[in-house]
Amino acid sequence: MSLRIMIVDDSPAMRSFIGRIIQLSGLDVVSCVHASNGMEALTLLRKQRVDIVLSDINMPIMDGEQLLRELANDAELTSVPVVVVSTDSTDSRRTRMLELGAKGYVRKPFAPETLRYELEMALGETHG
Amino acid sequence: MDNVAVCVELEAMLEAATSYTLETMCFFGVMGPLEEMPAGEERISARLTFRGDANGVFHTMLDLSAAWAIAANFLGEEVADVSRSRMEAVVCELANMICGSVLSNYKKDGHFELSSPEITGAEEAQPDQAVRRVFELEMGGIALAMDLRPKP
Ligand SMILES: [Mg+2]
Repeated sequence: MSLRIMIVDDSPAMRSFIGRIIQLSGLDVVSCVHASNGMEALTLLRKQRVDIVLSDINMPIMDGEQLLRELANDAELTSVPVVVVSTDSTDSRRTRMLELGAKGYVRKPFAPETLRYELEMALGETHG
Repeated sequence: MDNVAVCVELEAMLEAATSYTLETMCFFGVMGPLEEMPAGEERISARLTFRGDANGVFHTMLDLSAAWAIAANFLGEEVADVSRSRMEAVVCELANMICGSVLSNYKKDGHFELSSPEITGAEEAQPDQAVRRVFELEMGGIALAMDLRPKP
């Protein structure tokens, strides 16, 4: 399956790391869009469809939690699966993000195979 | 839990978080603990503060040669192609990940907010009351200091 992905993180270094790990994982990525916060992600998502979003939580302007809320309230975007990638691995945060609709949760630092596994699980749930 | 127990626990968490972060995200080996940073090298430091179920400061210091090599590995580029500002961004990201890991381990059901890490003066003193660890890396060394005060 050819994948269009979006990586949302305020750190350009982290975005390029995540993008490279996904490419190296063997998934067939046809496009990879970057956004530096939730607001930028929403604007881009309204212009171009992606198959999955990987999003950080702590970002200026609009954080990952608000991004999930906005996606849930948008009829056009509510079905886009989101995997959260965050340094916050407390149970409380993880539970809250999953309740808000995240399809997976990867804590930074992560092993490449963990990221791939969470992506596949999230895509499997959505694409059947 | 008494203070000594918290310190011992934090020391172990700092070691685990440092090794795991450097090895999985930067493909960079941690060789083992040291008493002090190896002398003579130029260094770079980053610090951040956190609040929530514990308040405090996290500080890390790296030999510059290690910082360049770690940044190049993280970015998947040659050292020569990495700019100073991108190297610093990777050092900040490293501080963020190590500190975030330690805090999440310290209190699994806790809540913490971390400030954005900042590069500080190369030889900035590490916080006074902090738990400290120093490790030898496959190139150079890394020092970590965490001053963590549980919420009263
Ligand atoms: Mg962030």
